[in-house]
Amino acid sequence: MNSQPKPAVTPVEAQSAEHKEAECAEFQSHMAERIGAGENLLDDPHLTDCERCQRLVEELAAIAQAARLLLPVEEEPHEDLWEKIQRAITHESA
Amino acid sequence: MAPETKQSDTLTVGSNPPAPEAEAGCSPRFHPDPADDSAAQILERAQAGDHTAFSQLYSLHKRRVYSLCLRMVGNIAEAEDLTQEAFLQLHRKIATFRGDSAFSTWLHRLTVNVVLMHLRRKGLNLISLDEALDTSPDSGPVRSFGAQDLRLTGTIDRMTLEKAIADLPPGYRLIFMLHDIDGYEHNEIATMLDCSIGNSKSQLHKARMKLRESLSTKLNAEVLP
Ligand SMILES: [Zn+2]
Repeated sequence: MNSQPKPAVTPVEAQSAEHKEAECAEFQSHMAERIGAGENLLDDPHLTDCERCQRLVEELAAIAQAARLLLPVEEEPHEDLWEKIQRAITHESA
Repeated sequence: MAPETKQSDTLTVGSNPPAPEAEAGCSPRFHPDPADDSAAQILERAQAGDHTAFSQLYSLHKRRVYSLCLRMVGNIAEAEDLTQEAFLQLHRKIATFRGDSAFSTWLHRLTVNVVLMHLRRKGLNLISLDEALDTSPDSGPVRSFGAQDLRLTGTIDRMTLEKAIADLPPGYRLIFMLHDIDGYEHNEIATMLDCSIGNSKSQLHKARMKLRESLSTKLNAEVLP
């Protein structure tokens, strides 16, 4: 084997990168319907092999986790609201 | 039941449920002296028609109810109207609460139902959520795959996330909120929204994908001037 300097991206690599893009697009475009059908995508062979799609799945999980941890922050309603509710209760009971 | 676990998540971020005495100043007309009242006693008295106890109940739960409404509709004026409606319904129905579930869970459900009724009246057809959302121009093949090399993990802050959620189409926002924030299971969401469990699952995935796209844009915009 000759040890010639390798170009940054060989045609074979470029072709396989393109192929990979197509595989990822295919996998990702069907995620919603497959999840809806009750499939466990974590068992999918593409996901086992593909770092990019693994990262996507991790990021979606991270978003859900961030929402759970960050967002149940409780805000205060306007202080007049109780007055309004009281008036409505009185009106209803009259 | 998931809304119960939400309580501990809330604790994680450091906002404990208010003690009744801390709230006394927020009930201008009534001046309860609840030092010895447990939440159970307050509830019992409110169920028996005691108005002071009902005001204490309001003080105890107003933040949770209001915040839930605010997240679901994304609008302060509407959220206050819905909070009022939720407490009016609570006043009407409180005697029927039997203690089979925790009161906070029961009130959470009552509030969600108030908001859903409101959204239906406003014309958001929750039954055909799929069609409504799938015809949106953004719901085609995934655009953002591989486009960002952004590690979202650990970089999401509350303000950015809130903004991204507020930008979601209403149907996506509702599903994401019910499942990922309020902790409802898909079967519960399916019942509430009158859709299939599969529908709820696939819509949640689409909502998270849309959020990821929006967060990537927002977080990148912060890094790159
Ligand atoms: Zn892939």
